[in-house]
Amino acid sequence: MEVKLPGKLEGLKYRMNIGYSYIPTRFGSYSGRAANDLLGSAYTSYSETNSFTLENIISYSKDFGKHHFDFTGLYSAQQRKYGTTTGSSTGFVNDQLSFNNLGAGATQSSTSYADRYALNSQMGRINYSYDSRYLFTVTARNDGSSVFGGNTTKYGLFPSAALGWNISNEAFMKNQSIVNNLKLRFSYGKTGNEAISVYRTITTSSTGRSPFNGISTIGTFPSNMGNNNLLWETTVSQNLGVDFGLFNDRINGSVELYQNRTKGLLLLRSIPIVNGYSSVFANLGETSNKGVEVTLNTRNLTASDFKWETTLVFASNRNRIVDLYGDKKDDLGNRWFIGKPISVIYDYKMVGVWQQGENPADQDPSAVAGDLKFADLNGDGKITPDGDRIILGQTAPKWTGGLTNTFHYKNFHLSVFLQTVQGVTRNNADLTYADETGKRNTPIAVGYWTADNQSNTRPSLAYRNTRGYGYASDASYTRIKDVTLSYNLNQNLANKLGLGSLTVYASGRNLYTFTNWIGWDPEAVQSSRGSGDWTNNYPLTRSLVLGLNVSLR
Amino acid sequence: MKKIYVKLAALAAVVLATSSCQKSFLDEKPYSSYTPITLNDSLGLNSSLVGLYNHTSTYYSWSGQQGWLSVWQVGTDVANATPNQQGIEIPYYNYTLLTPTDGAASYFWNRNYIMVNLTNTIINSVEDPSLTAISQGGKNRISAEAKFFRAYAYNNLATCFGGVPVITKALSAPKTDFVRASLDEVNKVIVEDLTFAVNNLPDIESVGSNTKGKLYGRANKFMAMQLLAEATCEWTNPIWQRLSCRALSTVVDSN
Repeated sequence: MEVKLPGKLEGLKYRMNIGYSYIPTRFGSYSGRAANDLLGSAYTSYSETNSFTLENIISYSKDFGKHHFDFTGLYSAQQRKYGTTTGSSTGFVNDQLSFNNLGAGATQSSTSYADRYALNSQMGRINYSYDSRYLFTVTARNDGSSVFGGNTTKYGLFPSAALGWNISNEAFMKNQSIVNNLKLRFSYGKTGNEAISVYRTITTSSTGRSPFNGISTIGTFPSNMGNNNLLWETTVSQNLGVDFGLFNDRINGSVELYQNRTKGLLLLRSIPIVNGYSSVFANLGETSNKGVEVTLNTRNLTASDFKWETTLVFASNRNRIVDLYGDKKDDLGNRWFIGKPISVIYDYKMVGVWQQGENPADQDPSAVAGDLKFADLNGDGKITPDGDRIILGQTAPKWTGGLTNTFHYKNFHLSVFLQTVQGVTRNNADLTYADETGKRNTPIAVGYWTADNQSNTRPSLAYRNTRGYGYASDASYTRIKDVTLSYNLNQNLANKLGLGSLTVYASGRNLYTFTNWIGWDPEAVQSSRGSGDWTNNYPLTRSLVLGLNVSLR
Repeated sequence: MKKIYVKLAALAAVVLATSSCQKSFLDEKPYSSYTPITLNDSLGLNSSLVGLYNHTSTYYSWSGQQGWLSVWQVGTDVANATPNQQGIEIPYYNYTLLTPTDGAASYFWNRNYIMVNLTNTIINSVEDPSLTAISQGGKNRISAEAKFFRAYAYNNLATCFGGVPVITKALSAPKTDFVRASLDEVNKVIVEDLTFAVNNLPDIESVGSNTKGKLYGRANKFMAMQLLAEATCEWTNPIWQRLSCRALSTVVDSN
């Protein structure tokens, strides 16, 4: 709904948006008597999400001469209510009822959950531009979210400003033909990140049952520590960007430099169990990010029959922890180190495998031949968690890049996309296991030490890894991500056939990966046994597609 | 023109309506969880006490890598280690592999300090003067049962670790600067809690009941007496002293 005002107030608009959504879901599953526990198990779940958004927007826009001015003011409220109920039942006489009568099962259980989320925002923005050459924007937001603590106002004020200079529109750029587009952008501002879900600020109790005289009795116990002081995580960022086009856009692209500092990060912090809880959400520390992003598009060959275009993207980010708890001290428990990236691998340094005849007494007295050999970094004659672990690498890439080459010859088109991710270290879960007496399929590259085959990289099958070494490995890779060859039928021919167009194509994704990583794939997330979503580990798939695109007129 | 103003006024009313409920609009109320501070009536406190029994069961039911009971029994007459052992009990029969970050010790530490927090929460609620719906006798009985479990946890901790941090109030904000108390301070809490429990817990036949009869599974005064005897025996009897970490205090005391 929109109201425009006439006369002197022309340019002033009021707008109200009301949005309401209702999303129901239903899920049912039944595993028959012939499967799994041989009893028949049914499960159903229903959920609904009710949300509304209300926005009141006032805007004013005015042009005078070469000046353009506009203002936007916003007041908005949002609410989301979610609720779900699940039921499950096992022990059915036969499979006839599927999940349609939970009551017919021998044992039943049910759960339900509900929550509410609300957000309130006020925002004002002023845009000013002169002659499409100078652009200026100031914005201020004031956001309040229900997820923050009762001890706070729940609100955060986030101002920002941006400047743009469209250099190619300047008079002095008119008399040259090299640069056809050049634009300089700079922005500075503060933003807020909600970063937590509902109910993190309230200490809550779980329920559990205990039998007394055979009667199940409900017991409650505090299980989650809430932090009533949680507030917005804020980032102050600066961004400098250049967009350019040369030789009539034959070379064009952009360069982006950024630097930002984030304070009061909302993180689940490990705390000593002496508190009664092992972790709590907190606004913690300060991190910095510096980086550069480059995009370059070139048209290398533009002959009429053969054309070749290239797109190159490059991104690099340097991420550092500036402070944690205000005392510039590392947090070993969470593996957070001042001056280092947020997510690092901190572990023993493996230098080989103990071979027969070597004497580990001065370095690792309990080691036997076939055990992993770790560096005794502090030289105290034994391997200890305090003295012999170091940072082995970061889990976020140091830089990433992509290169797309597209070739056109008459009606044939070939596009090749290469992707590279460099400077990543990850623990390799595949190496942690031997074959578990045949229960597990390990990649063929995972060998093991034997007296005959004295490997210097893999331990013997008897090695128990009591130190919990994670097998940090270089997960950098370069991948032939996508190759697509297509042929477009000549338009005249297509017309004769009565078709709008016809394209035949063959394409392959994830065709080949160049990497030192052992296992499925350096990118595939593989949870080790008993952790995360480990029953659903799934590799990255290679796909080959032959296709025909026909559009009818 | 006038019509527009009427519309605008109507809209302004809507705007005001939404902003006027702003104060409570952002309030948070957990729909699906109890909060400890609202479990402060008789039924709530009783369910919190039942929670202590539930928590005690987790001391012994840890099945992670099949090891918890083996920790205490492998290497004794009860059980021996087979060649294919795996899990947390390994360092307990192969001491060269025992490290300060050992899983079993950390689990026992963990269970007992969670117990301390659960009991502190109950004791604090009962001692809150604004709680008037329960008689002093009722309060003492609830407090006694919680103190029995708190002493149980501190006795476990002192036996295995010696002097440990003593916390007798539930923490409302996280803390990281805990320091070991002396063994005497830990022992003092145990004796005070158990003395209170002995004086305020019911006789065996006076425990509460449910529809199936008396709740003999709940703590009574003789359980508290036995625990008190066991704890004090440990720091007076030379054999017990040698078996537990309380031997430390013998050394300290004898100097």
